[in-house]
Amino acid sequence: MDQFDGFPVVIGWELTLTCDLHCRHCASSARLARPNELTSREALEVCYQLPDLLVQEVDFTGGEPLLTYHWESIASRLTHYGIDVQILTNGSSMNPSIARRIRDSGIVAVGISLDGLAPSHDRLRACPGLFRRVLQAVECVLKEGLHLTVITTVHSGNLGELPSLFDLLPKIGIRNWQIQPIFPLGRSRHGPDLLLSEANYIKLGDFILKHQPRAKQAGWDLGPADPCGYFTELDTRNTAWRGCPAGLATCGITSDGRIKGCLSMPDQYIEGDLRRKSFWDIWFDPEAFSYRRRFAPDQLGPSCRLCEKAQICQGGCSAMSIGSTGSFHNDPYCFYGISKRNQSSLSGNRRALLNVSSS
Amino acid sequence: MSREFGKNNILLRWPDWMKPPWWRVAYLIPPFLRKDLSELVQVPVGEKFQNVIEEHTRAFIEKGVEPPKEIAGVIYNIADDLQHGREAILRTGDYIAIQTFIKRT
Repeated sequence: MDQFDGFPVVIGWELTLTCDLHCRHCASSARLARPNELTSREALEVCYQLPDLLVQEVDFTGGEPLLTYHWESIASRLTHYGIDVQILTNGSSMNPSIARRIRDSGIVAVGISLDGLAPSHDRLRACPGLFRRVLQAVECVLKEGLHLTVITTVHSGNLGELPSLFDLLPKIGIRNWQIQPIFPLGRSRHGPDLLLSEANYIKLGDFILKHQPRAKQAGWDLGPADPCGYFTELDTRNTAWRGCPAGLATCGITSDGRIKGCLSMPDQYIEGDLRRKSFWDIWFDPEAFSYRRRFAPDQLGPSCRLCEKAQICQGGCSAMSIGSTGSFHNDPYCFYGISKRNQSSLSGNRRALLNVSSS
Repeated sequence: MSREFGKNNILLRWPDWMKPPWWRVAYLIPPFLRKDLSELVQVPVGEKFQNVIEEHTRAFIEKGVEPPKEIAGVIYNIADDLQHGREAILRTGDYIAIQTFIKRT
């Protein structure tokens, strides 16, 4: 790319790192606020910069964004600028009044985390009764007519519960289900028992492949997030994967006003600080997001180096690659890569499913 | 000029490499509401942006005054569109050039 001409059309904004939960698998290790989080005035100044950057959508995340005192004013300001605002919550503090305030602030969609049936959801999130509260939260949000997505992070302990969730979600009114594999980042690094083995990762792909058409037939949607793919029959995304969008079309704002390609990536990959530079200058800095904007094949790690899809994919999900291997362009969680590495041990059916030739 | 710019709005074409959006970022809500980047986007711009384009395009068309070199390519394209009765549509690169010019002057 000569002159980079992309824009951060989708931004994840971590409003705070404060969280009322202490989930074992939290990739952000959220609990306490960052030391110097943006004030309301500073956050509104950030909003002012987003229209010039052609931002189309901002997703509030955290921590738990509903614990901030300024989520409504930020949402209203962004909405005023014509930017779609969505909010991702753990559901613990949702009630009819908050759901109404979400709607009134202009937020168009809500995402709620649900990682399994009651015992496993509550255990993983160290919060007895949370599952029940999430179901109540779902009811509150739907009552306000807001779009709602359930986001499930799949780990070794809840993989077997996906069929039960598949049965449950439409019954409680869910029409969108995003399924994503656990990242080996943040607190999940301290609980390696949660991480998915290659075999379990393939099972996750199998589940989505089999259940996506059934959901569609029943009038709702389930689909994998970016760290779940690529290039085989198990990759069910609607649009073919063209590599990690971080720093190309998406980015994240941390609660203390720093920019990184994706909020799932560790803080060492900060590209700039909004207290020191404008968003425009950070985004268009010729040195920024070099891992995505100046990719070269010789940067591919061992997981991807010999892969014939690498020119398109450029080494998978950056956050998953960093979390799993410590380097970019080396994402081992890839259906195609796994199938190639295990070609000899795959059964004939599985080989056909993964679209791997036997030669 | 056979056509005028819409006041405070420009029409912009997303770069081809962004289309169609292929991402579904983890921990963000999936794109069931997302605008389709295959379509042109109407971008509200400030007065300065409008003024820069109008001033330099008019000067070039009506008096043959060369635009500043940082935005010359953009102004030539806009002038060509306007002189041929076409709606002026900016590429993102054009938009970046104008915004950068404004921020630096």
